[in-house]
Amino acid sequence: MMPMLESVIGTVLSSFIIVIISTFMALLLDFLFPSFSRWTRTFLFFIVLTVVLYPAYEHLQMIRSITQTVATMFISVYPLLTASILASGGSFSMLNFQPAMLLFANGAVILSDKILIPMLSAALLFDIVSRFHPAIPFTRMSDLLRGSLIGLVSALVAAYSIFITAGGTISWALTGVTSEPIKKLISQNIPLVGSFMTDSLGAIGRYSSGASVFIGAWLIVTIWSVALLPTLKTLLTGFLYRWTAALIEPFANEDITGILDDIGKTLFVLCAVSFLVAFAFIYTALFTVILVKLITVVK
Amino acid sequence: MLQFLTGVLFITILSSTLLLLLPAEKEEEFLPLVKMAMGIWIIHSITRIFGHSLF
Repeated sequence: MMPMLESVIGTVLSSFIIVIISTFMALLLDFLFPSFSRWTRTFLFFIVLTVVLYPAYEHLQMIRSITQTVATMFISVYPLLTASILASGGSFSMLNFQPAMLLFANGAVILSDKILIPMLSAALLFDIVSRFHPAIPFTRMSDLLRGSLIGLVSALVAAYSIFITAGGTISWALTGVTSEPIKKLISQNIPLVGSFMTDSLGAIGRYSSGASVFIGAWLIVTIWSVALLPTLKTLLTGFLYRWTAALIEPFANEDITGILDDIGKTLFVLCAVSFLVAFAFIYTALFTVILVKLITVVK
Repeated sequence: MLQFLTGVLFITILSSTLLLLLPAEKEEEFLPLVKMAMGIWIIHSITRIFGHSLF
């Protein structure tokens, strides 16, 4: 956990320190040459954009490549899974296998590659345009894009959880009085996507605890941490953007803090998208492991 | 979609550069022109989605 934290903060922190220092330099320049202030603002805006956009763009690329990997995994594993289910019959009926789930997962992965990430980049661009040129605002457009993305992603996860819980035999050990305060804390403290995250965590948990009888708790923990690592990284970077915005607000221009805040918001939505992909990954990984286990047990 | 975004970005950068070069008192006259350009571009892009063309 700690090396991951250090690597995330180490790569992003240097760019934020550049932002803080250049904002302060712009403040000094404004004080020394008041007539030059419009140019100073433009230059500062471009410096901040070049420095700050790179980590966000890197995260977009990371989620896109992960999505592609998961999609390839689905397409290669799906025929094998269906064939083995047909062949083994009885043993799989215990696990409540639903082929529609695989279809959903595959659809979600393709959707996030073809629609969600381009829409997110467009929202980012609209934010930048409306901050750079306040006379032509596109704020409603970017809010609309982000809002519809959140709606789409949460509808997909709701569909997943309906499919998973429809079977009835699967139940999550953590649902109950103990986990409720933690869920409440997450849903209130992570802006935009908090409640969505706790809901989908519940759905994944319900499924994987049913499967843990077959494949063991440690493997489940491993699959979970591998799948959720990109999401955590994106979440942490989004928070770093908002922290920097909060830190420089007293002495910086409204545009600079606004753009940092907007990029942070977009990264939170990206976090929700990566959550969806992680969900698909956990599902496939669990099924593959169960399949291999059953094949070896039968032999 | 990409063409629309490129157009929006182009109009923004061009108009903000011109705004920087123009004197402050001319700004009031120039802003409506920028808004008109953006409006024409947006209407053009929307009509193109439905298979029509403004020009």
